[in-house]
Amino acid sequence: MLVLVSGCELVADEGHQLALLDVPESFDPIPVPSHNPTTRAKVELGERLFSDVRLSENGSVSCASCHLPEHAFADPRPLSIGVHGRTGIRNSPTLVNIAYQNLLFWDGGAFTLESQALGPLENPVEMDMNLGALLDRISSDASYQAAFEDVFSQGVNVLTLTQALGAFQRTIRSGGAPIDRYLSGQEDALSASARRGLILFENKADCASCHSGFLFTDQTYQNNGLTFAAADSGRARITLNSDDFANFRVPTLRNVGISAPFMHDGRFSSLEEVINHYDRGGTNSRGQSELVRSLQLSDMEKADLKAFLLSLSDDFILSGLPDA
Amino acid sequence: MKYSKFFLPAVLFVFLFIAGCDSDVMEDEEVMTTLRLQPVFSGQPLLMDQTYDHNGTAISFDGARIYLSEITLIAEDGTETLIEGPSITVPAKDENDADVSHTVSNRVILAKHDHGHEEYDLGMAMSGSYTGMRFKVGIDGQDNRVDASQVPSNHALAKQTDKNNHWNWANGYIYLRVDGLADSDGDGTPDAAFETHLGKTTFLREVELNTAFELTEGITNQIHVMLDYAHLLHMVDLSDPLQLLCHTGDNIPVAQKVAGQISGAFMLHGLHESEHSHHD
Repeated sequence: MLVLVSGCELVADEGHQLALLDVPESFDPIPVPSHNPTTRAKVELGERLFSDVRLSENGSVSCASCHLPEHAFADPRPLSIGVHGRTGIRNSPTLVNIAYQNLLFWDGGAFTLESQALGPLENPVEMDMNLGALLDRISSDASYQAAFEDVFSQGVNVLTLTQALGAFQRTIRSGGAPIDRYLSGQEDALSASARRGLILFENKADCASCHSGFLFTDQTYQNNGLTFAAADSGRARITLNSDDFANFRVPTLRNVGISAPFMHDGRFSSLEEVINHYDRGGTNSRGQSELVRSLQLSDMEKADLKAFLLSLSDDFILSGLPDA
Repeated sequence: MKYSKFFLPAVLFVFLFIAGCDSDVMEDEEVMTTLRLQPVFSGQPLLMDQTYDHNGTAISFDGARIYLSEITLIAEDGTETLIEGPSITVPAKDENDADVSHTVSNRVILAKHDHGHEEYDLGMAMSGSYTGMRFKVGIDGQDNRVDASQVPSNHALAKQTDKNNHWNWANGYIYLRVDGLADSDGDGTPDAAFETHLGKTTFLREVELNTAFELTEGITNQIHVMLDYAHLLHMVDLSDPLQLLCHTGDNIPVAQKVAGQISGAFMLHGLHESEHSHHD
């Protein structure tokens, strides 16, 4: 395991023993809501549900269909594809370190990991599942029935289903990237180019204004100057505030090396395209953030910035609980 | 003027007797109370398998639900009684989106008219004369910021498993949802889906019904309120494809039209003795 283990969150094992939901020292402890403590059995149940295509209307799509572990639990397709080949309007974002996310979805529409689970389950262009039918389907599986009884001492219902899915997603974490080793004192963890990129990131390019902290996001909602599609008003859809038009969540930059494409609609397939967008100063679209302005980066500076961004990717990503 | 030595005690006795009688009259008792929220369409019963004329367009319904909360009875002497419901404490977000634990204690009703449910328990209320009642259509404040997935299934704020009562893409409850079909080609047969879903604090509305009623001891008092869905949808042109779908944020003009009609869509019809089973 390459993740630096020391800052830890204690979680209850199903045998009421304590296990460790490990995160690096530089991370805050993983927030676990008191109403949904993490237990091994619950996480395993959630992981099983996460990968089960029976959670979709026609049994063709699971959560993992659009959140692929090998892509940092993101979707390599620009727009995620749901049941019957239906296409949504957004790219499925990474779920790594999602436990730290205060609000969920690109527009912050969901409050918690538990409530968030209902969004894709019911969305007609994602899993298009009627909740009542889903509960019946899961209840009819004896092994699920036993697992829910074991974990919750009750059968499957909205509360237990969402708690299991939430508990599993809370364990998807990473913090063992070269940048973490560099920041903990291992100077050769970053190449010379990446180190120059770090300086650019924090100064001339000013990426760190929004991509800050150990998650490389300040969790705000910004209009980063993309040409916009009228169909997606971003954060304004939630707040009904026109000032939030085309504002989207500042995403974590961790694992950008393996989680392309980028932006809420997956319009950029490479980091070069992303860097060029910001270097141009966006498109001067309606409501564009003042933070997005022409950078006038040289080709070498762009290459350095890319080298730094690649240093944010983990050697591998953890999910589930460590072995007892 | 001279008074006998018995005069003062006699006056006192008479005063106390009268006061005692008065006290008996004023000592109201708690009585069982229900709310019957009867759905109608232009005065006719609202049924899910029936076609109605809506401003010249044939329409039918397959969904009709509405949230009422903060139900308050207004007594003749001005006293207001907020009806309390089963108390639940659930995770929520505060105004700054910080995680909090929140207790919902007021009576919340999710009227499922598409299930034929009309009558709901209000619990105990004091007998006596009332000048009217007040309630909100929708869920206000912190109650609208709870995590619906974590609400016990027997509470009106629980995530429903048949039809959504809560946005699945955003926090907050759907205060009012009306679904059905509208005639799109003028042949008199409803064929195009319409969905009118109203939510968000901006569209929360308070309704006050100023009709006097009396809560009587010895019976279960049913406060009978009628909700006219034709009035709710009156300003919406369901022959216009642009007005067929409204999930609030995606069609603010239609949301405004419906919200503007809420207050006038309710009528307090009177008070009856309850004979029906009650729903939650």
